[in-house]
Amino acid sequence: MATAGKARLFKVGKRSLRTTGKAQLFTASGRCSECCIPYVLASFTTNSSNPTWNLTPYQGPGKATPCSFWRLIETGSCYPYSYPWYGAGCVDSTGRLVGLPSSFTSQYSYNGYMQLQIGCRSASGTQINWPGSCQSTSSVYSC
Amino acid sequence: MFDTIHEPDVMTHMPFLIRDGDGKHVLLYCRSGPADFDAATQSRRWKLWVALEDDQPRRLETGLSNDLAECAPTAWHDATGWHVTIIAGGAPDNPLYHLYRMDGPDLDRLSQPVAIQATRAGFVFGDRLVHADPENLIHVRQPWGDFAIELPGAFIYRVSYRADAPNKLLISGQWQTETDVFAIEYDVATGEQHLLESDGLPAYKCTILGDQVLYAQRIGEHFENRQINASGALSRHPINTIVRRQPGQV
Repeated sequence: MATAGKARLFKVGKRSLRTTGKAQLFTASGRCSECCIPYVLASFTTNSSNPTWNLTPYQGPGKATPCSFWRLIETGSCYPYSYPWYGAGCVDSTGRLVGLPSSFTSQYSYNGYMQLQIGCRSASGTQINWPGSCQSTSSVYSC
Repeated sequence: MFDTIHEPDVMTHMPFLIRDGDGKHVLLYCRSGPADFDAATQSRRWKLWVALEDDQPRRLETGLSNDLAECAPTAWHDATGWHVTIIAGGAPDNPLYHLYRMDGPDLDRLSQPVAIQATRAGFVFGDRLVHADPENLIHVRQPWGDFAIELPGAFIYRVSYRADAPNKLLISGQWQTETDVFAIEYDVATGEQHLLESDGLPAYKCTILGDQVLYAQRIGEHFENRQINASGALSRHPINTIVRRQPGQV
C-alpha cells in the first residue's frame, strides 16, 4: 500500500510508517492484513424503474484495499439462512476488484438495497470480516 | 364502499379486508402520497392506513421511524382485541425488512411494534407464522407441524390470507424471467391452488372477503404506481405449480 512515510525493505517484505505515525507491515506480495478495515465502497438502490447499477467506476487499479475481498450484497433481504450475494471476488495487490462486472441488473421490481463491500481476512486467516451487520463474517474463498 | 381512499396523486396498495366485531368492514392498506416519492431512487415510502365502513380513512400510527416503509398489513380480532401484523423496513441506515406484530384492545390502541421475523413477506395469524424468502420459498410454522411451500421461478412480494378463510393463503409475486405479476390462492389444508385473475388481469396483492375482492391495480409508469380497486369478476384457474416440502427439504 502506498502511503507517505519511511519504509525499510526486508527479504520478506517491508515495514513502514503510516501517515498517522503507526507502523504497518507488508508481505513481499504487498499484503498488509493489519491495515485492512472492512467498508462499503459504494451503494445503490435498484428497482423496476432503476434496475441497473453501473459498476465501471469501481473497475481498475487503486479502487480498494489491496489483497482484500469484495462482494455485491442486497442488504434489505439479509436473513440468517438467505444468500443475498450477487457476486464476489478478490482485490489484487494493485487494488483492482478482480472479476467485478461492468454492471448489475436486478429483475426484482421492488427496492434492492445493493452494496459493494470490501472485506478483510480475519486474524486467524480463515474468515472474511465484512462491514455492517449483514452476514458480517464468511469463510475465506479462493480467487 | 371505500371510494374515500382514492385521492389525486395518492397511491394505495396492499389491501386487507376484514369485518370488525360489529360486522362492519375494516380495510387496512398502505398509502403513499406525492411527498412520499423519492425521485432519486424512484421509490416510494408507504405508510399504514385504515378505512372503516362509514368513516374517513386515517393513518394508523405504528410508532416506527418515519424512514421505514410500512406495508402488507393483516389483522384478526378476538375477545382480547385486535392483532395486526405488517412488514416494515427500507430505512437508509438499515434497510433490512422485518415482520412486525402489534396488539391492543382496538386499532387506535395498539402496542409498539415487535419485530417477529426478518422477512419481506409474511404474517402472523393466531399460532401460525408465515414468512417468505425473496425467491421461491414460503415457510409456514405452526404448532402441529412446519412445512415449506415452493413456488419455483418466482419472486414473492406478498403472502397474506383470506380473513374469512385463514387456511387460504394469498400469494402475490412476479415470475423471475418475465415482467408479469401473479396472484395465487393456496389452501394449506387441502393443497388446492388457483391462479386468481380480476377482469382478465392478475388479481395482484388482492384481499378476498366473501364475494368482495379488492386488488392493487397498476395505474402508471412505475411498478408501484397502484391503486386499490374493486374487482369486477374474479376468475380462478386451477394450477399445479406450488410444491409442498418438509422443513429442510429444500
